[in-house]
Amino acid sequence: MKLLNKTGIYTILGSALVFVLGGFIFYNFLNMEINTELAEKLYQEKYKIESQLQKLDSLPALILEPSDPVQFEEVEANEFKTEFKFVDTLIYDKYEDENVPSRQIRFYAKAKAKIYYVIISKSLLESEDLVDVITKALAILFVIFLFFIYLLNRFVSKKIWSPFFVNLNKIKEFDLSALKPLQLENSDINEFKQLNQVILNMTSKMQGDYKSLKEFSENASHEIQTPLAIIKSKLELLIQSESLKEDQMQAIQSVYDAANRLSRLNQALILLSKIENHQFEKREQINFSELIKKHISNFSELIEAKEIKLKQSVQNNVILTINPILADILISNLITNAIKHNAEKGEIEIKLLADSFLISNTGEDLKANPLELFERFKKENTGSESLGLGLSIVKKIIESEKLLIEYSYQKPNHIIQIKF
Amino acid sequence: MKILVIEDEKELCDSIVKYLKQEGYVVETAKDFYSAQEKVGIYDYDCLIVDISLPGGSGLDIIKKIKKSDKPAGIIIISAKNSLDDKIEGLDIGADDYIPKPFHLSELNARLKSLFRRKNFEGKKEIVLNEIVLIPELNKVTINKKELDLTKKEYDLLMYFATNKNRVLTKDAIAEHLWGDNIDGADSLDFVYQHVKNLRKKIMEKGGKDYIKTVYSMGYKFCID
Repeated sequence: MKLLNKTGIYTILGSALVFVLGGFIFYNFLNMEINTELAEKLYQEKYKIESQLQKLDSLPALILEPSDPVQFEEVEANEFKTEFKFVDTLIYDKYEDENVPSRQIRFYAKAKAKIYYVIISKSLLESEDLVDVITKALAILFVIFLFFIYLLNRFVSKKIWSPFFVNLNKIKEFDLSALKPLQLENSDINEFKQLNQVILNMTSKMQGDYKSLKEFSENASHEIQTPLAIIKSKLELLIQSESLKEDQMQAIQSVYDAANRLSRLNQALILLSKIENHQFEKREQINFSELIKKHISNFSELIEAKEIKLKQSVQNNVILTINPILADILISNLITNAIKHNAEKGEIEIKLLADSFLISNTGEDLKANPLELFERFKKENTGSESLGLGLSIVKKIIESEKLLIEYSYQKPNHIIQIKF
Repeated sequence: MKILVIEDEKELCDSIVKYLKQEGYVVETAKDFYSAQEKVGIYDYDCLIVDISLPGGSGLDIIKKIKKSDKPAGIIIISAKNSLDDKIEGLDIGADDYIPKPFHLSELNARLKSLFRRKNFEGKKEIVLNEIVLIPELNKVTINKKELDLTKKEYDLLMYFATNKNRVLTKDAIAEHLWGDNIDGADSLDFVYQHVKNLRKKIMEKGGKDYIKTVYSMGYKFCID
């Protein structure tokens, strides 16, 4: 959940509480005020009636409706009391056809000759309406408030958080191996300033470490080349000797094989680091169809020797802008891979279209996660003499040339597809 | 044939010299930039084998110098840096071939011979191995004047044997020669076996002798007097 949404929700929940509580208090105060006002009005009416009655002998005989605000009733003189009381009751309103809640003041009033029991009523509807009005008003206010918060959040996210989001994207795209320092957008907010500083320190430290590690492995690789060349050349001279016995020859062969393996390993690692160092940036338009045909014919005898059936459909004149050396290694690695990991009397399918290249080979189900196959030194069969670098070189080339690669397994075929 | 090996690594230099002397070449060495420059200035060589990184300077400068002097020497670059730039620049300024270190001595020998053939230094257009005759210009092979039908790889293999006759060629060196150094793993060695078997069969079917001997499990040797 976004930080702004989260704070927004808390703000809304908090303010909803304030609005309900405020409404409640508001209602009570108003209600109290209305009640006092009502009581005062009833007193005034009472006083008016009392003072008028004192000047009259009796009241004119009126036909009173039960809903009329003033009701009289003549009573016996001995019933007179000075007390009065307030009563809340429902009075049926004939026009409105409903019971109206009302407050009444009930008292006895003296005329010159007679005693009357007087009831004065005032409708309480006003105070009920009040709750309604307050609720509505607050609800409208609340909606306005929400809208305001929304606007505020947008403003805040645009204005205050924008450097944060810009930087976040930059950090996402940060490539350790590119060796370009991270450039972060400045902000005048202290927290963001600190964050930027910490991230900049961290990334430059990472880059420094990465660079020295890389330089170390590169230098090591280069330094290993010369002693390897010496070992190989000396062994090659040694095996020319006619006087070697079989067991001596076998020992030499073991050393020779190991030296060769080391040498190939070293070359593969150098190639990988060269691709990483962007030493193959020069791109040319090459005829990919011809390249693939060349490699197929280069390996055709290998394929025949292993009794592999080759199905190929190569569209003519597919032109790609790519580094020619990398293209060469890419195709050669994929084809060797398909031959090497093929089943007995298996099949290879090679298909080149204008926008994709597909190579599939029969083979056993993978035990490992297919994605791991593209990592260095990952191989299905740890006992095999394969270096386990072929596919990681393929992956590096794909990355360097900004192509797309997909691996899938449709029993019994391992399919690798490259999209241009 | 007179060859100058310009290589600062003494052990490697000695190996190259030894292998090439066995081939009957006259081989001299230079271990740094200055002695190389001196030798190139004074003597004439048929071929220079040049390492790029030398104490005192770059092998590329020596190549430039010899190209300016109009001496018709062939030039093969050997470079540990395995750098593409070196290769491109080297070939641009007139080197004939480039071999990245580490390499098989038999590969260097094959490249050297192929260079001499191209430059026509040895004055013959055919390679004669008793009844077997290779005609590189036409990529053709005859046995007792009858044409031998070989695949491209089989032809390359025979040529590799021919340029390294009476030498033990390791399976690995053969695999690398035939398929380049991208080939990796034990499988390729079986393929070498297959190819050698086929080649041997084809030669013998046409009446050729079986010259290819297996040297334990190490490799093969084309034995011929």
